[in-house]
Amino acid sequence: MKQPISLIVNGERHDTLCTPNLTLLEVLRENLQLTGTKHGCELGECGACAVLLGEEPVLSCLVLAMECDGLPITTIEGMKRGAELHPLQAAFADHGAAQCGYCTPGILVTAKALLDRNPAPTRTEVREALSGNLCRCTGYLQIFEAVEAAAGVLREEKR
Amino acid sequence: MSQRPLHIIGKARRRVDGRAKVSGETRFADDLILPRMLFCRLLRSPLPHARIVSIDASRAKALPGVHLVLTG
Repeated sequence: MKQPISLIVNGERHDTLCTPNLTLLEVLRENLQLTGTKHGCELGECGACAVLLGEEPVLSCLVLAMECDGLPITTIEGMKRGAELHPLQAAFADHGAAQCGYCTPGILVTAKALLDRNPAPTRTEVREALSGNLCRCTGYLQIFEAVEAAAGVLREEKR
Repeated sequence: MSQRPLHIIGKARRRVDGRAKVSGETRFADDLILPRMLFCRLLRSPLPHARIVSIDASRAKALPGVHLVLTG
């Protein structure tokens, strides 16, 4: 039976109806039409569906939507600062870190969670934070370089 | 010939679709929702190596909203 839930997505409240078996991924993409979050393996292996639940990256294909009732969620659609790209997004575009772009939204929100808690991660820490996000075409080097470049920009902003 | 500074060659350029890809705006096939769009569902054999003797799709065909059942 469908039940009403409220999700706070990117600071905006969305009221929707869902059955208890729906995943957060399905509700974001199909109920709210926020298709920036990608549907990859549906098994928690690829990281394409990563979103932030509060400050923490979660795999939205493994989270039931009803468990998120009333909780703040950040998706790729909420990363831009108005019309401006977030420094991570700008760095990914500038460093060629998004080739086909399918893994990019999940990687960007996961990297954002990392930089929010650790403004100066080492390469090892970046690799570890993104180890749950598979990329099959760009290659990880550009992605790591982009995250480090964005970390530098964000540190400059805070000065 | 005089040497003029190069502005394009040897420089990294942002791709034309770079901004869309990093902002989640790129539409992949799975992201499209079109009017009168139909959805398909695959039912695969639970056995990796078996001979199909017959397929009875009558119950699937009887479900409301089913337009086509393809077997092979």
